[in-house]
Amino acid sequence: MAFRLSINGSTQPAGRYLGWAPSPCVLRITGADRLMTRRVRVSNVARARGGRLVFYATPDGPARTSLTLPVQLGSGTVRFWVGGRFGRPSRRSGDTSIVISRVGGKPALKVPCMVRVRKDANTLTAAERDRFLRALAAVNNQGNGVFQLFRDMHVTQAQLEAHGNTGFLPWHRAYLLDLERELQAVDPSVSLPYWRFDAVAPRLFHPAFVGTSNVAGTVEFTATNPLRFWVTDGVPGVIRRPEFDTSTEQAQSTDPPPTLAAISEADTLAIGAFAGSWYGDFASMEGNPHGTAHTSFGGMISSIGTAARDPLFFLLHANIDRLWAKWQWLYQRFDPTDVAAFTEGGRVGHNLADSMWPWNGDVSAPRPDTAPGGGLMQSPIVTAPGPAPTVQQMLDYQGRHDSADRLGFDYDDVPFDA
Amino acid sequence: MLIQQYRNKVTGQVAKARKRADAAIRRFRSAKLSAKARVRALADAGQLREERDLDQAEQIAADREQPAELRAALIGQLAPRSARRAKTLKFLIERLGDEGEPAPVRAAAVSALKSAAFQAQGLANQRAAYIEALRSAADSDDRTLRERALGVLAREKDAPTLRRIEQSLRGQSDALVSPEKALQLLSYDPKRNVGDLLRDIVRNPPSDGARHQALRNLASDSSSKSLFTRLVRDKKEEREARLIAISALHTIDPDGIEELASEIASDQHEDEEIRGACLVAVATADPANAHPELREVATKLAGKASSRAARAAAKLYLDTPSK
Repeated sequence: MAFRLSINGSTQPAGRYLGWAPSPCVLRITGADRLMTRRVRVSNVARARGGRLVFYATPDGPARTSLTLPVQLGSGTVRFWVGGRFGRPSRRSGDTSIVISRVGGKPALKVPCMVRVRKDANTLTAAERDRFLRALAAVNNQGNGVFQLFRDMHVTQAQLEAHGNTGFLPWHRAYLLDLERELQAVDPSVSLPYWRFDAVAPRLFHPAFVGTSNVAGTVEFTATNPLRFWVTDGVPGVIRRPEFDTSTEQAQSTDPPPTLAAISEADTLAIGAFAGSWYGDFASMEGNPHGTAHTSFGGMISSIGTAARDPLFFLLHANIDRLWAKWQWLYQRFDPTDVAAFTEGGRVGHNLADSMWPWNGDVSAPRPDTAPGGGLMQSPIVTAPGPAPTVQQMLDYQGRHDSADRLGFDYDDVPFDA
Repeated sequence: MLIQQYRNKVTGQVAKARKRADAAIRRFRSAKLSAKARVRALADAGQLREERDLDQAEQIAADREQPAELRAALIGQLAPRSARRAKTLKFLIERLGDEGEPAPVRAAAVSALKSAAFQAQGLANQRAAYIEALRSAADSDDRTLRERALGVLAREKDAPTLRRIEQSLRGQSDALVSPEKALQLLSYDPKRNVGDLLRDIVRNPPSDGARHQALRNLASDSSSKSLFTRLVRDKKEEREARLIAISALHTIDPDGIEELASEIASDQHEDEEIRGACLVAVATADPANAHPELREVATKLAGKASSRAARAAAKLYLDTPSK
């Protein structure tokens, strides 16, 4: 009796990366015993501290720790959905498995998976951190890798494509997704961590991670940190001068005093809450906490034209994106037809139906006259958003309205609840 | 925790934040309180949003009778919304460019405008005035203000500023900042033709930090290949310079550096941390399986190196997935 399980449309290991949002599974039973198997049981077994799974008979049904499902006569197939159990992500590939059994029988198939979500950088294990840094350094390849294209997308000449308007959040979501998929092409167990800038993050600002700054603002790494050989624009190194004590304080400008702090998560989520929590109000978070987090440093990360040269930029923006995702979850703002979910900005690139530069390759005015990087990277687990994403495609990132819109990422503290 | 419980928790936190912010705004608006008390209230206010509050903040910030720290605090509060208020941007630029303003007020204006710059459009319309104000601040006697302004100007690739910095390094004008800092600022313009100056600083450095930064700035200069090769091979050379050289050669000579790094990593008489760093350099660029002899070197180093950093480097090399 042969059992074969496809997850996310693939029977290959590349398909076995899950988030909170349900992923489609198809079990096929072949061979002489196909007609003898009427029902199967789907369950989860995991290593200690491994990810935990839940299962769904339908994508909008309740989550269960196991399912008993009938086998379709004729085709010998069983369809179900699987996702991570909120609060129990994996730490590495294969630390949790889907187990298929005949009802009343022994396990017939065990498929190792990973619940892969974006996590708080300050909470990563050393192994998770090092895998991320290795992948990031590989993409940089000491200045010779594709990372330079990402750097070239975030320049002063292109600032209006991504800033100062309502497309700010969707554009950066696509940007992060593109980079994350490049990282996953190096190591599929990697996801982009976020810098929780309204909290102290001493493990992040450490020579073994994003580095610590000397008096001149030159960032120092351990000799074995892959970022030791970070190069952008042909120049090695990172210049970052914190205006706060990174080992004891959250992001804030204190030099010179007095203090302007990046506003807290609760204050960010409260933006516009007095008036019904519309996107147009929420997008003002581009000022604080976003702008404040950037300018709580001197150096590369403190100017649009140089910010993407500092790897910390991507962790900063992962937190911005997480705040948007959390706001969306809190106020149920995933549906592009909901006027509270997005406010059109007028300028091209900031309206729902607009495709976004540079992925659309559009170099006609008012777009910039170059479009580095080509199309947005494809993923082995989802088909969305395609190589030339639109603003609209960035909203329903968990596929709540249409599972085909799922983008293949989740945050550790933003659940999926149908 | 169940998702519904979690939702209740987050909703509660947001409601609490709103209540605290509303109370803080009421205190800020209270004319009965001193200016100091009103500004202190803003720490709990989150972000000022309403036009009348922003107008009030701007009014106090403009009042030269108020203490400089108080005014600077309010300038910081103006920052997040300033990009959408042309008059506030103008106000901030005027504070920055006014040599009669105290340094903390001008420095707060630099920070506020840097933040506003991330929202693009507003400041783009007043760019010329902004740059002029920064140039004025770059002449300040206050070191913090001067360095902040120069940093922004250098990242904006302001030609007159970069020229001044270069001239100061050549001894043709007074130093604005330390040599290391000056070289850092020049690095924002990597195509600048200063190779002769940089090589001179490498030979006759005013400080170790300046030498290291000069080496970084030379990293994409193909005519410096022999300099970097010599540095990497010289066991008497300081470690940091050799590490920068390894990285530079990866840009200038990507095929050659893998051979060189492999050779150094295999040399049992070499500094263990340099060996480890060479393994890391190769691991970021090359599949582990492409150099089977290097794998053996890394295995030995991982087990036997006396330096913890070297053992960790070797392990990183061994753990690097093959392409």
